[in-house]
Amino acid sequence: MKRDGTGRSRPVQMGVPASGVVGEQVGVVGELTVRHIRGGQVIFEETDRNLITTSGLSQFAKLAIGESNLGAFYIQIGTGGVNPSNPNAILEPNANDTALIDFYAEGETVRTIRETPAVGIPGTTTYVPYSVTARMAYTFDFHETVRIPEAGLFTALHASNPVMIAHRIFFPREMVDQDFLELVWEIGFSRYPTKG
Amino acid sequence: MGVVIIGRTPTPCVLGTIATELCVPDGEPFGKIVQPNMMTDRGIAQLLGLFAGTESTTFTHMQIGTGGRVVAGEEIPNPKFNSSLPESDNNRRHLPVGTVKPITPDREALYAFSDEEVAIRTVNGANARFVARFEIPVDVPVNEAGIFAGSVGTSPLMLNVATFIDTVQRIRMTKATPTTDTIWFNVTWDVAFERYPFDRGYQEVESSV
Repeated sequence: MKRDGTGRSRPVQMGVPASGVVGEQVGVVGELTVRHIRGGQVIFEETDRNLITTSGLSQFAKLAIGESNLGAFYIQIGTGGVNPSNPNAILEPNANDTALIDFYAEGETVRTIRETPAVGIPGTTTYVPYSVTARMAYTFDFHETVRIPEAGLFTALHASNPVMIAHRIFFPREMVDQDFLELVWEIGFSRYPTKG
Repeated sequence: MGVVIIGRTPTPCVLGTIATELCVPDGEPFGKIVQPNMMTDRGIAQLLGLFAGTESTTFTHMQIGTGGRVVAGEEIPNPKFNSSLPESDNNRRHLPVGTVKPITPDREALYAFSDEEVAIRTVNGANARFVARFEIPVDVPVNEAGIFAGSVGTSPLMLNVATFIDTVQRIRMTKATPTTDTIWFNVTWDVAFERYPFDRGYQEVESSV
């Protein structure tokens, strides 16, 4: 995977052909777009996959049965995520992560749902299944020089020990006074075929 | 099969599994069947709505029904019908009587509602479990079930659905001889958000990396 800070993003696909059969998998898929804005210009943009944490998966189960009503309500950014012995190397997030490595700031997300109807006839190669995506966005503004290499999606404010749903570490962005960092997180359900 | 996935390997999945069994009241359960379900389009949209905070209605009820199989007089289109070939016993335009009706992701209700219960709901890790017990007449062929976000009177949204061999046939198959007019029908439904589903026989997906 390209993680060289050049802003290149991999092509991703939120919905893939599916057979629409009983037992097929419904993937829980997510990606984060990082957009660095300076002087009104986008100077860096990258979209890449996230890691949905184990606690994030559990949160889905709790939401389904009503044990929790907290969703992806906050985005945090942090200054951790870089290898201390090599500032040019970034760390990988882990499924058991429960917090950012080094919290810096947070914001309440603006959230929308996008549904895409199925197109075509199930079972044919041109069939595109129904898909649905949740979009969570927040733009941070900066008033000091700071290096930001990580972000996380959380259920609540940092002070309340929230559940971390997803984590991503990216090539560090060097933020300076008057810069903006726009984060757009998309998590969706996508069907794909089963064996046989 | 070329499949592009998003999310670090392996991609988490939602998998629904329903276990149904019969039980003579206060007796031993028998005729247990475990099978995958179909997550509906509206169901997964509701789940994501809960996740984004745009929806608030959670899944609470389980319904059972008797319309999961084609009965005499019904004309259910056969999805495998080949219109370029003449109609025959091997190429039927409509599904024959007794066939399990097809389940598609756009389903929004059972074919023929029979009964509902508020499910006992628990979470273990990332597995949401819905458990319900129905007392059904021994001569009523229950053959479909679903989990819903509310009671039947409110036209609730359906999360998932399954059809199965009907209960009358299952009693016959196991040669059980209920001495009562009713029998318990126990349903345990797991909706798991799993990272490693492949050891359950599901297809391993390929990474685009």
